[in-house]
Amino acid sequence: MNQERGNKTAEPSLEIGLLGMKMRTPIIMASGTFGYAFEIARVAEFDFSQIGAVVLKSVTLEPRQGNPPPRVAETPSGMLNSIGLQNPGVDYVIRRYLGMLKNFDTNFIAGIAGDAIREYVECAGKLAAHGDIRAIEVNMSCPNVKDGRRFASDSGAAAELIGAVKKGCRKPVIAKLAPGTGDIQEIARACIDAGADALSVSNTYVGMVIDTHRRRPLLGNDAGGLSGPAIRPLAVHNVHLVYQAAARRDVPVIGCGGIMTGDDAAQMMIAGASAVQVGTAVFTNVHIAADIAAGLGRYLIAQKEKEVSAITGTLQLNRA
Amino acid sequence: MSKQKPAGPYETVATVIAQEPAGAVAYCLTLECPEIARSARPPQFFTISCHPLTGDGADGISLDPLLRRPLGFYRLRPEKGEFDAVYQVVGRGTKLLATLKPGDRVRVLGPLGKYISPKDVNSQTVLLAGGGVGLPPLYSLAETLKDAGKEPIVIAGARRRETLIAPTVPRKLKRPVGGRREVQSLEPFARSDIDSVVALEEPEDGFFEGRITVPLKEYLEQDYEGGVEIVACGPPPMVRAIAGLAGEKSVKCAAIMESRMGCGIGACQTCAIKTTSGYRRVCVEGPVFDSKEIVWE
Ligand SMILES: Cc1cc2nc3c(=O)[nH]c(=O)nc-3n(C[C@H](O)[C@H](O)[C@H](O)COP(=O)(O)OP(=O)(O)OC[C@H]3O[C@@H](n4cnc5c(N)ncnc54)[C@H](O)[C@@H]3O)c2cc1C
Ligand SMILES: Cc1cc2nc3c(=O)[nH]c(=O)nc-3n(C[C@H](O)[C@H](O)[C@H](O)COP(=O)(O)O)c2cc1C
Ligand code: FES
Repeated sequence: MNQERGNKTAEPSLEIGLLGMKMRTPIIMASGTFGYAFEIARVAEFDFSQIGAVVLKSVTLEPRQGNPPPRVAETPSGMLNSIGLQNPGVDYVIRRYLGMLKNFDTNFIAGIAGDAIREYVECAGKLAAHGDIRAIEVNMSCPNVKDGRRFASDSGAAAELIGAVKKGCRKPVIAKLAPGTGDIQEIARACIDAGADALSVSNTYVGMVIDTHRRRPLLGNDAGGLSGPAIRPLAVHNVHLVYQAAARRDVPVIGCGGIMTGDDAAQMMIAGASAVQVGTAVFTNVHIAADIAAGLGRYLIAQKEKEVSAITGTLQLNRA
Repeated sequence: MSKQKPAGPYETVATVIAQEPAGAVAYCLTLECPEIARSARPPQFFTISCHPLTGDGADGISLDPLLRRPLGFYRLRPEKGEFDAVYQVVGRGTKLLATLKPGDRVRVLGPLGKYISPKDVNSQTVLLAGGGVGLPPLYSLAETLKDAGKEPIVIAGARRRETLIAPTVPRKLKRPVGGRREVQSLEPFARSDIDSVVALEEPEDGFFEGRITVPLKEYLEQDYEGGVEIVACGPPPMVRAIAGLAGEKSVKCAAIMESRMGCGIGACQTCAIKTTSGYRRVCVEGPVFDSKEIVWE
């Protein structure tokens, strides 16, 4: 951006640094809604310039076929998904997909998931060895696999998982927490103690939609993860809670849940996020990151802020 | 990135040109969107937001429903940069679509999915069988096949004449079937000089009586010098019945499948359907599948 002199104020900067990555904006595309980037990059004139980073769809050690359809059920301002971590397995992803990343001008974070700690560790090691992968995000919370919540609901298990992944890979490790699993601050602290370099807050909320006519759940898997604007206030609150635990330790929080606009992103950052993730909103507009970035820019101008990072954690509670 | 061929899909904003009832139960929406109109090839589809942009800063923010709806192409007019889509009101999203007015601007993504290239169709005769809102996409496909020198024949099924998506007109068939030469044909196809027959579950003069498989069977009993194959598009039970008959007669059948979608372009695995080779995405590997590969549930 041009730095103009005189009484005209310069464009505020959206640039941030996170886990050694230089990001042009604090906007990260969330895991699972942006595939392995090449699918969406097929859209004509797709532009990565307003995307700070992309978290690739969670991969597991072995291929997963996913859950029976239907895999989506809409709710007011949101949607439930029950994909069930369908992915072709880490080796296939590395061999067939990661080579394409060099064509896309942004940072890439690999998402990993699994049942056993050993699976996570092996996946993380393989992915972290790839030059275009800048960090590993550990999905501790996928609600769509059997027993998937264990790591996110038990601080001991969480610490064990993050510690093991951290030991097994040289790249920064992000712990992606699950909401609604008890004391999120306690889990956050356990992850930090185990070496997490950042915390993503958070994944989807477990929910159910019932087809009243058939008296059966609409999703093939019965329950699924709620995402979209419906969860935004819940996520903002959780970011606020986790930030209190993380800021003291200088561990960045990445806010995620229901972000559609620049103002939504600003809320997350004020609550304590250093960066934000955008998932479901991509379904409404694949170029949504550019709109969010523009909105965030306008917000900073209105607030006379020069740097987006300056708003992180600036929340002033009414009841101090 | 290097130049990709073909370009697209496009994430863009379309302008509503017109919206009119199509039959008793559906609407025909005309959109101006040159990128999509010029690059779409049937039976590809596009996804459309159910809410018009408002221009008040809340642009593109549609909350309920959040997701865009997939629709097929009825008529493509690339030279005018326009296309028509026909849809039935079945729920909240399509109810909102029905309120769109000329001049409204809506977010669209397309063209999406695989198309049927006449080059890859080995048979000279293609039986396009379908019902409900499956018929409009078969119209653009029939035109494409006809332009490529193939013989498309349309077979439609409906409960009653009133539930058909298009009016019918008397027509002399180019290729008589089941001893019939003069039948009631779907008007849009007749206008393009494409043969069509209709099966109604409630009998009427000029129509076949019963399910769509009744006339389809008649057609499959005939001889086709250049070979014959089927494309099916419509309500899942109908597509399944067509596929079943095709299987019995060992005739190749392409099934155009539906599924609920998230992204529409292969990134989220939401639209998976079960096939003999595992779950496949309707939005990328489909919407056209070899019917033998579908695992019906
Ligand atoms: C590739 C493709 C092409 C399509 N082309 C057309 C078309 O040309 N014309 C047309 O009228 N419809 C078409 N459909 C179906 C259309 O997308 C759905 O009818 C529509 O999304 C329903 O939205 P709604 O909000 O009104 O209904 P909802 O309230 O979401 O659901 C109402 C009913 O519609 C069914 N439904 C919901 N979403 C879908 C879906 N994506 N596919 C199939 N059934 C669904 C539900 O099971 C439910 O019974 C197509 C679907 C696909 C996947
Ligand atoms: C269809 C879909 C698939 C998802 N898949 C994954 C996944 O594989 N791994 C993961 O960590 N999160 C996954 N998520 C969760 C998102 O990354 C995100 O945390 C959540 O949707 C909340 O953000 P949002 O409201 O912006 O979508 C998925 C979400 C959706 C909607
Ligand atoms: S709708 Fe996302 S993969 Fe098909």
